[in-house]
Amino acid sequence: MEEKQVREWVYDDIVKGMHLPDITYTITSEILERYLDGIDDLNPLYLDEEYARKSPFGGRIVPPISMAIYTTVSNLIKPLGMVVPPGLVQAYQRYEFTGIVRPDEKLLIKSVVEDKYEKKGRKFVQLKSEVFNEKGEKVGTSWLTPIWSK
Amino acid sequence: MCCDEKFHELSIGDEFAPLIKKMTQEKINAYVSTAEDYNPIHVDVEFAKKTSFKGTIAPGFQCIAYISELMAREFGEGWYVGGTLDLRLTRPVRPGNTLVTRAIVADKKGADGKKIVICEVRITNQNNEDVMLGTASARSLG
Repeated sequence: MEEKQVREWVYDDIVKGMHLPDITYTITSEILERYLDGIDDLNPLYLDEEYARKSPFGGRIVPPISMAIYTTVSNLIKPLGMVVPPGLVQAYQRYEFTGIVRPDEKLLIKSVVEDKYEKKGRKFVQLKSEVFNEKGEKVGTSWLTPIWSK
Repeated sequence: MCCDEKFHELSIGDEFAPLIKKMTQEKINAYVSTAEDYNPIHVDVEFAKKTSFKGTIAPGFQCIAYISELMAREFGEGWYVGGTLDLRLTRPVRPGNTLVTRAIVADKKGADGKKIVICEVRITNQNNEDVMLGTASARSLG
């Protein structure tokens, strides 16, 4: 089998305003269980259908911050066949939650390089990712601002 | 209690009950297994020993979830729909660390007919060193 070539996505490759390939993902009940195990969260709203049905949500939901699993820089650039250079450091992150997400719902991430700049000799890149449900409603947004190592 | 009631009851400086968690390699492995984003610094003990970290570290995004858990506990629907988080990671988290997540009411304000509670949030390790700092906000649904 031919090995897929990957290369590092370095600062000079990055153009302000460029859109990254769309990504889809689904938090299945099985992924959700492992995720909740990892974050040690036993909220019945995520796990107990009967409890969740009686809640204002009318059924199970997933933690809103679970979008952070899929909006990482390395995940966003994977479809480009690229990897982040070693030494990348997460400087800042912002998240906004605007709609609930349920287990097994198919979600779409649309990402753009919102900004890139140098400050005090460090190279910053701001990536904005918007997450939409199947109805096209925006359920969340993340902004990651890592410091690029090269 | 709904977020709207809570908005009126809360005062600036109020602190919510902290959330205490112990990070383990098993929890890191479980989190990383969901991410399809393999990085040996989180899961490969031998590899990690040879890096400047001298051992595995937890993904920063894993600990952000603790702040989300605390805000969800306090604000419910006002967090799930309308919550925001602004964060800086300040120190790596290692297996064995005991982490305390805190939130203090920093401001209350109205915007677009909604009421917003803004909290200063922080996670510290067992040495009382900050590992994450920032703000989180939740809004009323009224």
